[in-house]
Amino acid sequence: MSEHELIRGCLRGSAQCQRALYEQFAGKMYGVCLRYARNSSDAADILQEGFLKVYAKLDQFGHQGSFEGWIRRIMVNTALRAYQKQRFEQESYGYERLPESPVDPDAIAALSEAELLAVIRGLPDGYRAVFNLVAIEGFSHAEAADMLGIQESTSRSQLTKARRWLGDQIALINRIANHTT
Amino acid sequence: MERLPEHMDDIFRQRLYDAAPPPPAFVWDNVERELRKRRRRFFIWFFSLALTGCGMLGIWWVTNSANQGKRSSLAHAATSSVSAQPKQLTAPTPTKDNFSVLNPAEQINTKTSSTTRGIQTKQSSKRTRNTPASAPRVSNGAPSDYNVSVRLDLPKETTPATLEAKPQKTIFEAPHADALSFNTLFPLQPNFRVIPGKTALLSDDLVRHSWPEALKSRAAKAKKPLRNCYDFSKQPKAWLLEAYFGPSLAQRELVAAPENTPYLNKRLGSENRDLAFNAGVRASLMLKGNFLLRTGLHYDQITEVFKYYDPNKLILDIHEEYDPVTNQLINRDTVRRYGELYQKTYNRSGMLDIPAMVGFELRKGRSGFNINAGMSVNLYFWKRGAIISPFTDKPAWYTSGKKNALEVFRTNTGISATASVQWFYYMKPRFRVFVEPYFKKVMRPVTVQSHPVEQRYGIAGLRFGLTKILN
Repeated sequence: MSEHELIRGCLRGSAQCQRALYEQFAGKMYGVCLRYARNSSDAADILQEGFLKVYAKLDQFGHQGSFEGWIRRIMVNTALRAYQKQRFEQESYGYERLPESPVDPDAIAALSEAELLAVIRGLPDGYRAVFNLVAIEGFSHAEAADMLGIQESTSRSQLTKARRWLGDQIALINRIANHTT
Repeated sequence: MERLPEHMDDIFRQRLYDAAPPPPAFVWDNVERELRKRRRRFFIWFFSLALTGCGMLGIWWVTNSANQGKRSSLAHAATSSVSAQPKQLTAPTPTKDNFSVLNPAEQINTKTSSTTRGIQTKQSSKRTRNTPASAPRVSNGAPSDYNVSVRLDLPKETTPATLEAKPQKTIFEAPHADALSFNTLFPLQPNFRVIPGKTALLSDDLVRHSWPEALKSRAAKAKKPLRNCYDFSKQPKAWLLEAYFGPSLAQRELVAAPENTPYLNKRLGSENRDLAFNAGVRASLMLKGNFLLRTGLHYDQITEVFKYYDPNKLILDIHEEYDPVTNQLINRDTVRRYGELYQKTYNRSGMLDIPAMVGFELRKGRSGFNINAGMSVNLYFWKRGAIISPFTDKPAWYTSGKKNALEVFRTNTGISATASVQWFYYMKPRFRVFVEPYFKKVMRPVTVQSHPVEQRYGIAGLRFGLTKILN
């Protein structure tokens, strides 16, 4: 079934097409959700809410640009909204200073997807959102700041802190791996 | 401390941008359930809109019927040029003995609209004499007990014409107020209207020459008043006492914050909808214009089935034996029982409400319908049953008054919005039966705020009942 047929079927309310659309994009979108959420349970909630929005707003898709990109944008917005809703209960992560040690760039490449996701999910909410938007999705700091409702300078500083935090975490993983081997 | 080099962003992007880990299976189940719920919500809205549409159509129909009741004809269709030449009337052509046409110059009834012009005569000769100089007169000058009044719908430019009949035989009498009977009587002559008057009379010549037999018999039938129907036109203000009972369907909505989704899923997986019913008594005051004020007592009972299965149930039975003299423990027997636990509980809750509604009634013949809408205030809310406890993940009772009962539901459900459409049929003049689909939406959650899942109800159902009319 082509993408166009899939969209038309969903607009008609066909349960079969809705299922097919979900199956086609759920994996990738779950990956997006996992990067933005604190844990897999939150990610599942975001995925569910995001797909419901996709079905509800499918008639607004103008067939200009990638359909996957359109869905991804909905997921990102849903995740950010969830993050903003939860901001009041955001834990204030203490920045744990670890003994300095060099990070082997290959160590990052050696990590599995699940491990990389786990590292990103460990970031404090603010850092994680900025890192995802700027470093992975490729938005500019101005766009990220606009989406998050923060200053551009805050976005820059949070990205820096996020990188530092990730560096420390990867160094720690690297050390543990070296120690065990 | 080591900073992550910026080019490492690329590594993250390459590895994670298109990552597609398999999502949990329950996500699609939840999405599908929500989509089904939305579809159902759409149908509820569609049903409500259709009901409203039917109501509007009914109002239009009754209004239109009333207008048509004012219209009737004493002859067959007239042409637009009938004004000056009575012979141009199509069937029947009035005879000279029965009709004459006044000179158009003697125009009368300047009050008539530009599009509908016509003639008016009064019921009695006395009234005829009292009419202004421009009013129509019986052309042959003979005194007449009755005049037949005809109004012709003519084009704007047509001069009004006056026809006056000299009745020879009274064959039809009907009060003007009974517009429906006129409408039934003259359905094929929309160009004619009977002018308001207490009595309408036809000349027998006109009847003999023009009326088909079918119309005559219908005329005879139409003269008879409707049997077995209360005449609200005589006494529009009346009390209606109603009692009803019927099945309903409770639509439950469970919502939880994201962190409580696992518990929500457990509840969704362990509870199912079962039968519900409604019953009540109602007193309605019929006002002028067929408006109704309604109140009474309404009861909804909802049943749900709670099922719980624990494959590894452990029950400890401890039997202790004490010395009867010293009261010291002399023996303790502990029995461990393993097995499967299957629990099924019918959870029931009831809402007793006082509704306050307004309605509008439409009648035709022995049947009719009314549409009603309003609010109802909860008087009493009882509940009995068990759910999975949010604290222990085990079944727990929430029945009020039960020991260690969970606090799940409010003591009162507050205000609900309600609407219904009733179709009724007269069995006797003061007694009718009805069927009434209704919908009720409880405005606030029925659960307490401390419960992790917010529970709301919408109830749709049917009422079968009896109405007694008092005044």
